[in-house]
Amino acid sequence: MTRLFPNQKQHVVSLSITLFAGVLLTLLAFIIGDLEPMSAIDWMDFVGEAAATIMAAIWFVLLMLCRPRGWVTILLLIGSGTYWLTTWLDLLDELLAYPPDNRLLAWLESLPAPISMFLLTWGLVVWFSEQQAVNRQLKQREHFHREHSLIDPVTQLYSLRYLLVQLSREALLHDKREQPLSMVMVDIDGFAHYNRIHGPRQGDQALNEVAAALEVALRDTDLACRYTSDRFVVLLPDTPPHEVSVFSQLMEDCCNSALKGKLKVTTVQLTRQKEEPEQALFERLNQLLVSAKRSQSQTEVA
Amino acid sequence: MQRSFACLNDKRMPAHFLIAMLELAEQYRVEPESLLRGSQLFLDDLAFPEAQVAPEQALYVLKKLKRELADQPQLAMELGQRIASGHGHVLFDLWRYAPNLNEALAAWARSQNHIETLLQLNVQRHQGEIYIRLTESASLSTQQRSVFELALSACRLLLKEQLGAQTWLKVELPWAQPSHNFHYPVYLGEHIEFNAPRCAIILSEQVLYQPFKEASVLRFAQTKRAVRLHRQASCLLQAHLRRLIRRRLSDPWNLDITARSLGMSPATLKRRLKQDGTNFKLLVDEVKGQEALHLMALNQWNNSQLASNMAFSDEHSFRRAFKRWTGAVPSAFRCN
Repeated sequence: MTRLFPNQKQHVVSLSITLFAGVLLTLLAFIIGDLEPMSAIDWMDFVGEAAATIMAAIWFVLLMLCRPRGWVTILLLIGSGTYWLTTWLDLLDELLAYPPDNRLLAWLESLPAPISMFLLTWGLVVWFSEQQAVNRQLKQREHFHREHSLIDPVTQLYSLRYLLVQLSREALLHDKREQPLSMVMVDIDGFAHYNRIHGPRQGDQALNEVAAALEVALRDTDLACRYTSDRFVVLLPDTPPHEVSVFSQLMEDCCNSALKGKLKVTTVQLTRQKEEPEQALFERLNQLLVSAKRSQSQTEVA
Repeated sequence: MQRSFACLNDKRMPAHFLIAMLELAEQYRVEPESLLRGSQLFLDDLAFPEAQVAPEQALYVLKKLKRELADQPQLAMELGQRIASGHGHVLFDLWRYAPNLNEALAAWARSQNHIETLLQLNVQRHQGEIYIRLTESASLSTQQRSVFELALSACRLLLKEQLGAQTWLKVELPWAQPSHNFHYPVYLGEHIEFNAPRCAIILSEQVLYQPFKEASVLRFAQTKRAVRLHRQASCLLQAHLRRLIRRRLSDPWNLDITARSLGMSPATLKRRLKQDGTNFKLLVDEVKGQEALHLMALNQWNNSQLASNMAFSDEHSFRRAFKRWTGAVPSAFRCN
């Protein structure tokens, strides 16, 4: 049951209460009334009532499935639960004949119906206004995303702007806690040349492959972004230098295997010194990359 | 020789540049149609192989693109890389297939009579270094910096590809370093000088005759012919004048004589320049200002040398002009 309603234990409770009430009412109905002879049952009515009961039960369960906990949900659940109970009694009424002097079940059948309808309607009205608020908020968020382009349109990674926001926050936290904050920069070798030979579409494809490979290599706490052109930057919170070089190598291997030999990447890494500004971090990364490429070309020549 | 001259809104620039802009825009989810709106251009116009646009239209679209993607400071440089790594522009093919930089620059200089570009390249050798200086062909107004960035990143990419990624190359930018300088090092390399007296790429003289990686005799000849086929009957008036003034700085430039030498009446020259949103005096002053800053830094000339080389009556009037160009006295620039 908890698997069906993963974080809504409340729903399990209301489902049990409703089922329990249903069983009680059924027992009560059988105690008070007697089964009608087959010939006296109006089968058309029976089918109609049965369909109503089943539908009401489905509404009840669906509401439980889609609603998070909260007072609006309680309203809706009480409303639809009692509504189901009244339809259930209606159905029993078709099968059972009650003594004419006992009005209890007749009341139980008809009195809660308007109340449950009222509760349901009220719940729906509140749900509507709640949904409007959610929509407004979503719209704002979408607006924010669009305006500030936090997502790189080609790779769907975060953009540099987003990384800078996160970086300044993490830097502050890491300085306070005296934890090491590290960064990795990934650069595709000879990307411009590849672009020229295979066209920008293939180039974008390669960028996407690198982005996907990076996402595989990331831990939950890491953040990858497309820095610019063919460069990517990964932020690794709480990672000391000896671990960064391992992650950096892992990313390089991941990217290289994702590119299937068409292209190769170079990665460089650093760990932030205390109170080092963002601009300086990027300067250091770019410098490291330049010297990494220089030593690469020297080994190629040699 | 009677020549005819064009203005900024004559359609005589290959559409290649504009198409690259629209492609980049699409990558950033900006509709090409919305960029073209107001430029009097339509997508269908660009679908022809010989499509040409007016420089003014290209600048208009660039301005709109910059505004649309105001949070992408690297936009112009990205565009430059895209153009340089794309196909189909004869001018870039010249660079690509030339046997070496010397030939490439010579072919480019010759091509400037045939194909209009927004920028002119002024090449100069000085103390073991080559200065490839970028100056505008026409007033680029607010788009000047973007066009410079674009051209610099395109040229740098081409040079690095042809001469090897490890070639020493310096870029000088005539504006201040932005507070968040994340993109310049990626697109323009590690040696960048801000607040420079010119916009230039500087290389060591040794690379001038170093063979280009993609050099191809036949393709180079082919491209040179293709450039000649592009020959225009007219050339951009502003660009022509700027070239003339730059070449003969020490001449006392005046409107009447210049107009007569171009075969038009002074009134016509005045009107034509007005169409482009400039005037003769402004043009001469702009070119002189650029050259003064460049020559001062390059040759360490003093005021009297500069004044006599640039047709100023005396040092005093040169100093006054310098203050007009830069807002500061020449000595302030010397100590930098």
